[in-house]
Amino acid sequence: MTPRLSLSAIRHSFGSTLVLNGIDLSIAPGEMVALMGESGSGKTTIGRIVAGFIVPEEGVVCLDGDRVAGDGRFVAPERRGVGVVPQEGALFPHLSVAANVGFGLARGGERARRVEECLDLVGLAGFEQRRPHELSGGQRQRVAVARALAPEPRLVVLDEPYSGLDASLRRTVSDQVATALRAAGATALLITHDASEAFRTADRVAFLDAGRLVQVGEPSDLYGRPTDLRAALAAGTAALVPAQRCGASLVCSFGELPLDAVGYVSDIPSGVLVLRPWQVDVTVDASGGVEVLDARPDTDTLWLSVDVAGERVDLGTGRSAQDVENLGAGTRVRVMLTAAAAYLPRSPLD
Amino acid sequence: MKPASLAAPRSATVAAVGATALAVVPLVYLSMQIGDAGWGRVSEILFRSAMARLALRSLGLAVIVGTLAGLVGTTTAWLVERSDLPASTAWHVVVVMPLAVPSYVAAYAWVSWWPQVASFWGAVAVLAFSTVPIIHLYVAAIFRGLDSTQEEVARSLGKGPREVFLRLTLPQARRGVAAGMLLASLYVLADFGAPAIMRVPVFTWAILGAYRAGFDPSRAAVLAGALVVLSTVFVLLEGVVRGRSTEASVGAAVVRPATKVTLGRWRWVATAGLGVLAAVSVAFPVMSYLYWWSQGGNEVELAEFLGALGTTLLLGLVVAITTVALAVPLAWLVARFGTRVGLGAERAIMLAHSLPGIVVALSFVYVGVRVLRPIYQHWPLVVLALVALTLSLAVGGLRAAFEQQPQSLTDVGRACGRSRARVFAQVTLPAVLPTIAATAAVIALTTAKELPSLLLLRPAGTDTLSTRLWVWAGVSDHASVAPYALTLIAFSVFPALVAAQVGRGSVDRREVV
Repeated sequence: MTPRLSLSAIRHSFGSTLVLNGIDLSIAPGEMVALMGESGSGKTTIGRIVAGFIVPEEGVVCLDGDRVAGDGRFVAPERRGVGVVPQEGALFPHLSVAANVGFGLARGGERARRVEECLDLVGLAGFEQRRPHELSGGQRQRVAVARALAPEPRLVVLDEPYSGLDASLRRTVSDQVATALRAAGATALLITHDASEAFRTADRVAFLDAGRLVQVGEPSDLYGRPTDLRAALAAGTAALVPAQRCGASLVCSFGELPLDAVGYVSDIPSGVLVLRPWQVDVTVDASGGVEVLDARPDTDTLWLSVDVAGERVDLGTGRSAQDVENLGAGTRVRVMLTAAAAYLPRSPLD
Repeated sequence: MKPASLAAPRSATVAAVGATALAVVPLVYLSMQIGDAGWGRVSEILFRSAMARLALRSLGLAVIVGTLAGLVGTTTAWLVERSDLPASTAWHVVVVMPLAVPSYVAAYAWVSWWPQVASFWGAVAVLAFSTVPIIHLYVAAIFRGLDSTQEEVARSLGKGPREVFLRLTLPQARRGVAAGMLLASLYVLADFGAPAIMRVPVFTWAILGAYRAGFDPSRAAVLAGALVVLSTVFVLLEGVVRGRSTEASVGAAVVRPATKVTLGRWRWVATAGLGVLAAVSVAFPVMSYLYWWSQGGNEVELAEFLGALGTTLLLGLVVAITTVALAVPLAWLVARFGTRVGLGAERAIMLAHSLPGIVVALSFVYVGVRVLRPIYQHWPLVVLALVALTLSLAVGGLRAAFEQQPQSLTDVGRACGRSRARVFAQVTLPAVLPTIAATAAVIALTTAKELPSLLLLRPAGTDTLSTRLWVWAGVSDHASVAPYALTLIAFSVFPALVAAQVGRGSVDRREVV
């Protein structure tokens, strides 16, 4: 099947700074892909290249197999059929909600019906005559989504669409938007730095680091089988414990793990184990060989600094914050590793 | 009730009240003068056909100039901000430069070559060239402030550049253009020099004439009152037009450089048009005066020139210091505390701002005659009038400067154990000092080109650059006008550059990755 969007070997720089260094990515019709990365990693630039606001220096962009950028060809943004939902929505302030949503539609009787349909889709039926400044941040963002969906675009690019919202609201709005996109059968590229947003919304997640896509896969891949240290840490809380490869197992200060208990194994003699909190089991044991130096509760993880054979290691465990009292400094514990997400070279973070 | 250590300090409130009194009290005396004349006399002056003609002429001049300048200024603003015009930053400064040529200086340059230009349409032309910068600055700021993300979204919805301009950019700038046109019209209503030189009897000129005629003080007052009413209508209209645009700012997280429209072959037409505009409104007057000066034979003695220059500089300095001293506490009060007294004072001063200079000057004449006899026709009264005239100029800019400073800075200062006065002196003031200095300079130089207040209030036998120029212009001695005109233009370049700079350099044009 022809992919809806395909990016091949995209390179782009601003001045002397290389921002994108060989990006390959394709999105199938109806698929939702999240593009994750830290700020400055180049994700917004990819979105702008797809929408047609930036001409990439090298590489080819195709929509439904038609070349829209690259090899001397460039199709203007208004001819691409790529909807855009920017940060904070950018609603047209002088137009009503209905006029905003209908902006990209041809005049005629169909328009009002389609506007109604799209507002219904984002749960804002009845808001037609409101003005943008009369809406809350979350409502504005949903109108922006309805506006992008109205002309039935081939693809919708959502660029950090929830970054202007309060943390408490982000989750609700992002779920509402995801539902609307699914209901419309839209193909979407969601640009975000927030892992939970990406994971909840997308079929696949592409992780961008320093202008390269280091891992593209389903959310469970990034979490459970990360192939890159930054991607592993962006995908969720993890403790990093130095380890060596030894035959069919990986050896660290807390014991051995068989290779098949590790999600992804790099072919290197020495590296780090990426341990999710639930993969680390800590029990109080006076005869244990590990001493707790410090315990700090995080929201859903208990972080322990432990001394094992004179070496200080930080461990995140799935224990609850209440365990802080039982696991104070000086407590001796036994640490069991049940599995690991990955065994990776430690270099990227050094 | 706030504790005294957190409430607005009393000294600042007192200064604010004083500043307001200065701006408003003269108007009270103006209305008393009108009241003294009695309704019969007032209606006799008002309801005459000459009065109707005067009003119609003033209004016509204002509206025609506002419209013309609106068309030209919007075009220049669009070219500079939204097209790929070569050297747009330089052109921005060039388009604003006519602000450096006082309108009467520009008008006299024309009349000096072709006396027959002195007519209604001559005044229209000169004033239109003078007011283009007002519209340009106003509309350019709007174009610059529009969220370019909106245009990108519109493009992604299938609209081409032309449609985006017509359906997004223009509708959002429309109110701004209208407000700018009203401001330009207001400027024309208040202008005294250019219509006088073009021999167009409008209110300002008629007021001076009535005052000079001497035997009937109430006629000048009634004319001034009528002009105030007319100006107020324009101020209110401007407020209505601009005020409804509350929807203007709906979140723009990232400022991105706007996509520029490609002019193609039109870029040379545009460049040529801007060149002609600059040549006519700036180069022509400057070259004219240089020419007349080079012809020699002027009657100006060095002592006379230096005397007028010295008086002008000293007066400018005193006015600038007094104005800033009154404006700083008021601006700080409004920016930091927003007290009712502060806001009320600011509003009153901004309202007084719309008063034509000749009205303010005339009001101070009445103040002088009625309560300040000892300083009437002495410099202190001139200073008071000029301070009243320039106060609003200072308050606006200073308030913005104070507001830009985060509250947290002063909070931290006080948390470090410093008193409020010390924090103000050591933290707040140093940060706004550049603005204070620039404001003072602009006020001093604006004072230099002020004409009607000085004509009315200056002590007998003394002159400034502008009044000297007026005397020589009265006898059509071009060569003698020249040195004064050129000095005034040179003085006004700095305020014009400041106006061009405001808001222009501050936008961060980084490309966002």
